[in-house]
Amino acid sequence: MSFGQVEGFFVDTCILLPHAVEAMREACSGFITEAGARCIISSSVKKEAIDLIENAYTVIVSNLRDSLSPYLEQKGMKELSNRDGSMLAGFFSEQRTMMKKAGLSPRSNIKNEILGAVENYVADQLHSLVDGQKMLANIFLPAIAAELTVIKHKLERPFRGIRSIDIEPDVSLKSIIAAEATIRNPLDVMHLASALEHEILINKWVVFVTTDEEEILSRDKELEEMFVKCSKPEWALDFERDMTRKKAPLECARETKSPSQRQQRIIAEIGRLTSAKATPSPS
Amino acid sequence: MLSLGKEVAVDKLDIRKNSVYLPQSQVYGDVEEVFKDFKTALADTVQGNLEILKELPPLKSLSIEEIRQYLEKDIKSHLEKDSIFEKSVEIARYVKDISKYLASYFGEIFKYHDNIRASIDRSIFNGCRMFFNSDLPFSFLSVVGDSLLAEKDYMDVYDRRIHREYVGLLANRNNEKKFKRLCDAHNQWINPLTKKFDDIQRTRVKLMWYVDFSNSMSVDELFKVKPLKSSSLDKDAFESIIVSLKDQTIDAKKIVESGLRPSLIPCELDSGVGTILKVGELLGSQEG
Repeated sequence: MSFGQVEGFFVDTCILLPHAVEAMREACSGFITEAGARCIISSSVKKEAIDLIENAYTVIVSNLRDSLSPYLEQKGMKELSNRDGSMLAGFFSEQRTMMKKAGLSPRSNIKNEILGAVENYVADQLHSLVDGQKMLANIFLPAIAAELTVIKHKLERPFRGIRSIDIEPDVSLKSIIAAEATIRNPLDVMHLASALEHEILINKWVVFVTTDEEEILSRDKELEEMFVKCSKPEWALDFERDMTRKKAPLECARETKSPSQRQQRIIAEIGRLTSAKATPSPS
Repeated sequence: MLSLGKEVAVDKLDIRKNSVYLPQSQVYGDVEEVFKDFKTALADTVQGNLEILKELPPLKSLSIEEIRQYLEKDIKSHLEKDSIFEKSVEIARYVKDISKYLASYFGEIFKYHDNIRASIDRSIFNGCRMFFNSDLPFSFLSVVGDSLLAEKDYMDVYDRRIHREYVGLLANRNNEKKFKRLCDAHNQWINPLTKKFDDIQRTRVKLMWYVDFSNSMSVDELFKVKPLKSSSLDKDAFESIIVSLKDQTIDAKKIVESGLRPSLIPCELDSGVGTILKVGELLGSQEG
């Protein structure tokens, strides 16, 4: 019998991204400062984060080059100062009119919000120019892009520096988690299944750390029944300590008395996965 | 505040500079091989850059020989005014006899790295400016930015490492055996990385030169801000340089990331960070 088998913390994307809410920011920073060396991300978390950042960066910068830059040129705006806001406002208004002409749909609503986010940022940058300072338009826009390039890199840095594990979780493990814990977001299912599969394969507990109340933490009981311990960053170290007193995951699964229906499904799946691991398929 | 646009380099000459780290691999080597005075280093660097010309895909409007003659003078005069380059030569001189110049070397190298970081920021801006003056695919900006930021990460890893090494070298400066062992360990670590980043820099310069030269009708237009058309490029040749640079960057990043041990704490939420996250989330919900 083995006790104290804890591998560490599988962290969700939200833990390594900045938070607007101060309490949440402090909780994540405190947790990472304390337990950063024992944190792991699955390849799915890494991909989700990098894709989110890269796609956003591409959309913003492409928008600036392909739409705003020709607009300024067409309007003969060679220089910009913090007093040229109305000119730039005209561009965004024109873009919205074009969208409306194309027909409003839920998809274009999102496009509209994206445009709004870009508009806010451009306005911020324009207003950050000091009074009297004029900047060539063909410097202003590349300077914004350069700034965003550096920001993109800063955002990606925690995901590149942390230990990452390549996992393509088993399809049935994903469908059991999705169905039994009613997790709707396929990416969350992927992250949770990755943590569980890793836990099973190395037979050591992991704590899945997230701030996602709506989709994950609200189902923590169901997930715990399926041997996935989820926690907010504030309590993750406490749960980790508790787990050191537990038997190893496979033993726990084997010795579960009167398992619930969802436990029966997951235990059967664990059995299948471990026997598949023990019997390598012929190459 | 747009810090990267504030200090716009007047010329945007992108050239490849020899790495200053390499001489350290020869601390106990032949002194004649190690010693490079300013003129020799300058001649070497000019030559190293001219070598890149031989690797450029054929240009439609200019002859390589014409560019070679122009660049020889231009790079030389650029380097003569380049304080970062001058400093690199000075540091290489300290490296010649590291035990004697220990304090000078370490004092200068951190300052030097800060200057390199600032010059990387200027190169990022130049890459963005080229992209905005062009119809080039996004992969151009992406690969140029990534390769430059990988270099910046490398600086961070390097600084952290030599900070530790400095303490060890200082403690063992009178113990030749241990001192040599520490230098050897450093060189063993640094040599493959130096080679990788020198290659990255070389490929990036090749890419930027190819785009710039292909869009210049005369040598006087070289490195000037001008519209850049992808139609003036050979698509396959351009793509091939992009792919090489991307592969080299991914490869170097893996090594740097393994030694990065950065703060995993998310960066501060400012207007730019908020915009990227907001747009990223919206795009995610669009897909979902």
